[in-house]
Amino acid sequence: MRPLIELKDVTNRFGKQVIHNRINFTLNENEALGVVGGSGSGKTVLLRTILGLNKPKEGQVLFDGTDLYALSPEQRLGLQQRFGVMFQNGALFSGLTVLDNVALPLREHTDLSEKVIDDLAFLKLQMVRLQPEAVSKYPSALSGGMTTRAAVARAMALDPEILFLDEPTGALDPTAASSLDELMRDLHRVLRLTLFVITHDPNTLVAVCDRIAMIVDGKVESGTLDELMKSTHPKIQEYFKGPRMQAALAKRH
Amino acid sequence: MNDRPRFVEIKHDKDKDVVVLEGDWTIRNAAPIEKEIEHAIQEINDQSYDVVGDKIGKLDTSGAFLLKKLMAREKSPPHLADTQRSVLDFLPDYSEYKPPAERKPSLLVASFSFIGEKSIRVLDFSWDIFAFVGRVALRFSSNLLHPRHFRLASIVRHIQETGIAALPIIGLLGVLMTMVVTYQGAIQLRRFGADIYTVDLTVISLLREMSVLITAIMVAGRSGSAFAAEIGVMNLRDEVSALRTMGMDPIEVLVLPRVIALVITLPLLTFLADVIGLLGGGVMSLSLLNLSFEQYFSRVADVATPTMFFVGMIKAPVFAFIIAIIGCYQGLNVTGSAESVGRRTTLAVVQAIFVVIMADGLFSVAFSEADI
Repeated sequence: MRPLIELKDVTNRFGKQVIHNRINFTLNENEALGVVGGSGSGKTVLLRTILGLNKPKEGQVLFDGTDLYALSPEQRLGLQQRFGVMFQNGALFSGLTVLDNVALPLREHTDLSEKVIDDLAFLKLQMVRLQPEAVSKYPSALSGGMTTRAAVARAMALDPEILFLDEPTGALDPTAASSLDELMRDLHRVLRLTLFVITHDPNTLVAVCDRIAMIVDGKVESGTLDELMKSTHPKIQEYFKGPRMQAALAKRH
Repeated sequence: MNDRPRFVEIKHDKDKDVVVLEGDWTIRNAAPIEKEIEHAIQEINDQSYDVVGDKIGKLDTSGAFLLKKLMAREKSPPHLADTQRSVLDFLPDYSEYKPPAERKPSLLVASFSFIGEKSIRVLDFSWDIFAFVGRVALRFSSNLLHPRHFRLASIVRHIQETGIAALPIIGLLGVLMTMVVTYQGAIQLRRFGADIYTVDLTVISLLREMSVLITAIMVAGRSGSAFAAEIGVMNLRDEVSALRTMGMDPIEVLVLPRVIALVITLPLLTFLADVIGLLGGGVMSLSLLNLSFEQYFSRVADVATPTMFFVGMIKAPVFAFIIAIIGCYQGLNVTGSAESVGRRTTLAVVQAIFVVIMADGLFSVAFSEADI
């Protein structure tokens, strides 16, 4: 497996509060990585650091071997087009319809005709199984589940290599959450996307992710689910021995 | 066009045309692929054809979409490698996006309905704003029985933000304003040898009209917009609904402290503009009219009357009330999108300044009728 993203000795601090303390972290090509950790442990900061939105105080962020923060803004923009990001709560543009939200990056970065862009955006929205009626609505008129799907479709607009999802199932009911898990698994297996999923949902970890990175006390511990379960670190033990985690694991067998 | 197609090539066999696909069918090549597909479809015309796609390199969802578009008329499946077939199967069938039908009325109907809608909106607005003023007044009077409900901390915070933070800019504006008036007045009046009346001009216009009007316009731009945007974003994030469900009236918590604070600060700011303006006039008189400060101020004392001062000052709380009410009203009416916050904030400033100037006109008429 080829490492696609590598963090080397990255430290993030806000004031006196140390979020990440010299962490090393790898995201391999074609893997589905789940990122877990308690609230405030720095999952979203990790995501923002990888995306180029938050320059770390120390250390390097390598994408395909090049240091993301040493690049010129134009070069970085080129790399960022290989990322698709779904932010927490969707972050759809409230002034555009759902279709235009998905069409926006296509209009900006391709020379396709207007008609084809509309059709392509429509196809991506159908791919994430959004109801056709919802396509021409504005984001404020969507339910939580529809917003999440539309946001995934927008993240997929430019066919990225890596899809970053920040708590995709956070606000969804169990049915919607499991159908989203299924969608993520399809995107990973069929389209062979690399996934980086921040999640609190044990079911997503079990159903979608091949490897899990857990942020504990400013460090990253990673491994497969089974490896982490065998860890002796008390906080990791606590996390994986919790009743919700156990319930999700029971379904696996 | 290219000399040789790079993605879609047509080979004419005996009985059937064969469309051979090559290259990477990805989003980066999507635009040329689209063009080549159009060419191919034209060239094939209505014949049936086979599609051979084993030589496709990478295939992503955008490429698969274009492939589906090419296949739309042809039923027989294309020849593809397994991984590519699974991508194709994963995606839903090609279907055109049809935007929801919009009825376009004729220009005549549209222009009349435009005027009609605007008029109704103006009527609605006038009615709404009266009702809003009523609700604020009602809340104010019921709070008089329970002074604790006036939220002193919030009022103080808004006095700090709308008043103390505005001191430097209002002071600067006061000086600049009288400097301009004195300068212009001196030049014009010198022609009649009446430059001594420059001081009268400056003092009367400053005290009666200019300082309160300029201060109100500045405050409408500064604080009216801030009120609308703050309350608007709170509304957008359901904070206003949260207040309601906790049994707290948004009028009491959000609107009243702002209105009270502005009614207190605007007269004070106007007073500051008066004082600094008079000083500015003194500096200009010194350089343009060769009047010493002593002479200038004795002239000011002759011209200025308490009535003149109070005619200006009495308007300040009224203007403050208008600005605060319109700002809060627009903020509470934000709905849905970020765009709405921008539109409502703009409206808050435009309407506040407009109504302030209108009110100033009414004051002028009233004062002249009363011979003040």
